[in-house]
Amino acid sequence: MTSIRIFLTLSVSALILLVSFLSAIRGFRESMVEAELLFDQQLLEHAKMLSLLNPSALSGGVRVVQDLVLPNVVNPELGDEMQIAYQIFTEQGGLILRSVLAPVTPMSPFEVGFREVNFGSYRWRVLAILDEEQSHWVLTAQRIDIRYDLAEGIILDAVVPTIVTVPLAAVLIWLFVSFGLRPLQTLAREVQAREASDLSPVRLDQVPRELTQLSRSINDLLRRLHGSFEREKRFAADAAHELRTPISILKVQVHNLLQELEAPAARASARELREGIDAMGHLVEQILELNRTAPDQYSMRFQPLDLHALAQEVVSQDFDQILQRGQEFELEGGGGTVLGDATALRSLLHNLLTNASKYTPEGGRLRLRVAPDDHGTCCTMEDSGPGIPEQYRERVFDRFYRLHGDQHDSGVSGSGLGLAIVKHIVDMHHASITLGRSELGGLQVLVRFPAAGGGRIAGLPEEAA
Amino acid sequence: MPWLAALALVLAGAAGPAALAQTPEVEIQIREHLFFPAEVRIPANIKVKLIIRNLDTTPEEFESYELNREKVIVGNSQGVVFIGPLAPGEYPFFGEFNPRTAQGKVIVE
Amino acid sequence: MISAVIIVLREVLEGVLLMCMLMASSAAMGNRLRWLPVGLLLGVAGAYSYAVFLDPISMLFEGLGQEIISAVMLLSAALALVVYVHLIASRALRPASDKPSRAVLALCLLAAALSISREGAEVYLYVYAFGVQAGQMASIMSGAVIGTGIGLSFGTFFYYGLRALSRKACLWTCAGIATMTSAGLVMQATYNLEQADLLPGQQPLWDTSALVRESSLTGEMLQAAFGYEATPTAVQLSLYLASVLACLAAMALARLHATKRQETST
Repeated sequence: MTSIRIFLTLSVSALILLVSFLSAIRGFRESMVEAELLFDQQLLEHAKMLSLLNPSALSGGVRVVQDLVLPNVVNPELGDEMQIAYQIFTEQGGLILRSVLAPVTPMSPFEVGFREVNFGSYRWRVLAILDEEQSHWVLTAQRIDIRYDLAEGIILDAVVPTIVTVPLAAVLIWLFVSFGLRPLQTLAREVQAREASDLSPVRLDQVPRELTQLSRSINDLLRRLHGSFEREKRFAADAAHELRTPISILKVQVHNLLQELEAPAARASARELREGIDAMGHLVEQILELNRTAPDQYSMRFQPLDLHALAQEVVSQDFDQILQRGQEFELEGGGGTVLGDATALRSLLHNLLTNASKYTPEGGRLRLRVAPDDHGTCCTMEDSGPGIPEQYRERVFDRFYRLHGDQHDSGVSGSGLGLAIVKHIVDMHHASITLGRSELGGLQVLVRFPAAGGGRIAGLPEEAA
Repeated sequence: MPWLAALALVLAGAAGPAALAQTPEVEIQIREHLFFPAEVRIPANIKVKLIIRNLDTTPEEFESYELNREKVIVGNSQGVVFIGPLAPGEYPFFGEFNPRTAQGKVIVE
Repeated sequence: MISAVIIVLREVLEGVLLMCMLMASSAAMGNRLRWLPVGLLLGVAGAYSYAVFLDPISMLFEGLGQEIISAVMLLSAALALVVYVHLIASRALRPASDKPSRAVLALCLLAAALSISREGAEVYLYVYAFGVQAGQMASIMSGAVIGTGIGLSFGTFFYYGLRALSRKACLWTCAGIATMTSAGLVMQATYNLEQADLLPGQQPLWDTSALVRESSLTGEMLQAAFGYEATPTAVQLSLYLASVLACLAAMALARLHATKRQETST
């Protein structure tokens, strides 16, 4: 049952058709039987009338007379054109009188009753009666085909409207069914048209009884989904937030421990401990950042920004890390106005830059280029690192996904959240991000921002989360 | 089911030619949607070849439930129908396109 | 009008039952109904050419052309159905898959085209060649419309009835219908061959016309469903049973394959 509408239309039309056609057939049959009786009645009346003739008065040679054409009193239409052939015989079978159409030989055997026979290249219904008083046979006959045609012509007029109405009914049924199914389509449209992040209840005017349960279930589902989303978001944020304080305390204590320790071996262990705590602190910060930049979470303050200037600012902050790794860095381009949120964009550039630096071997090359292009502003981060094989390029945006697990060629441990944050920010700005191979040999990250003032940046992004 | 066709041919070969030699022929004409003669008398337990000649311009379908025969004969044409061997009795046939007038029967004696 | 209803309904019903079975089963086997328009078109073309060339066709083989061509068409349709029964049974014994099958498509096409050709030719001859020439257009057209309408309505219910069944039940029901239909086709082929004196005419084994007359509505329905015959002869009965057995064998073969497949896979 692929389509409810087609199923309902077809089955209801078929039912109507069956009922009306079968009753039409039944009506037709009964009317035909009635008509037959009427014609038989006619034959009988005429036979009786003929038998009133005094055959003795007619003796002396066979007479040939006109066939009877008598209007039918009961139903004038049936009587039209109906000719009745007749014969009168003596009881011994001698022909006394016949009409023009009747043959010389008896039209039927001398047995009282109706009978169907062929003569004169037609099939006839013949009535034979024996008038015992006058002692002669009277045979009257009507052509069966004419009887039938006359009757059918009239009865058909009653049947044809039935046939014509059925297709009309089918069209109406189609319209009614379509109309009846409209709330279902409205509900489907309502559910389909909403944003993925929009989990507010579906509102329908005048929900039909059959759909009340369904729309209630959908709303219930949406409510629960919304609740669990909220809980999930809050949990990550709360957990990270709660972890911040103990980590800061740990950091202070490790610092103190380093001051107090004398033995070099113990100091080395403590230094490793400090690095571990730093990594943990970084992870917690990144989780918080990720949640802050979640598109359905972020309260945006969009304003026109010079992306190149922003990049310069971020580079000067992060330059220490690049210097430490002995990498060569270039910042190219200039200008490029983007309508966006300064904090988020700073975080985006920071993540791109530190990611590139982290995964590029020491002494490698990095290049950041920010420049306007045909469609807006283009920001390209390139490095001479190992790059990302094509099959992993989709997955690296997933949270906590790291290429080759933790065993990175560069030996650096990341949080696995950097690119997820980048993706959030990109989506938030209706920008696009593509990963490719750089001419420096490593990864090329290309972020395209739409032209500022394009008018699209209003409300929530469409493909958020 | 090629074996069915083969079986048909074998059976036909066994029963066909021997009987074919003395198969009596009966001609039935169709005129004005009527059969002439309307009553065909044939002997019992023997195969008979009916030649049905349609003299009308309209097609007619020779049909009989009792004889299990059904054959369309187009206007101004003729067709052959084999019937029998049959037990004595009456076997009505009719013209399916004119069932009211085109009626007849095979009387097997 | 009544005779038009009966003639058209009988032909339409036979065709519709087969078409519904093909449609329902091929849908249950995960095939789209792409063969349907092509089959209809081929059938209509076949019906038209058969009807138009009926006179020369009848003159073939010493006046037995009609019977022989009919028998060939009937037997090939029956054969197609036997193979189709095998396909249905094999699919029913396997887990559901949406993989369309070219064999299913071809067989549906063949069976549909053959069936529509035969039924359609008779309807065409009756409605057009006879109705127009005899000047009875009004009554014959009304009857034809009523007959077609009733046939199609039954078809609608039949199709949705089959589709309402579970996939397995639908397939096995269709296999059963295909078996009965193929036996009915063989039965008709037998009449044709007897009529042409290629199979011997015989005394009937029994007579159930007192129970159900072939000319009654029930009789017509039963004939359309499985080739009901009130007075079967030994030849008719044995060929009928042979075709039923062929279909059963086709199903058994499918089962055999299925168990073998299972043994090799475990």
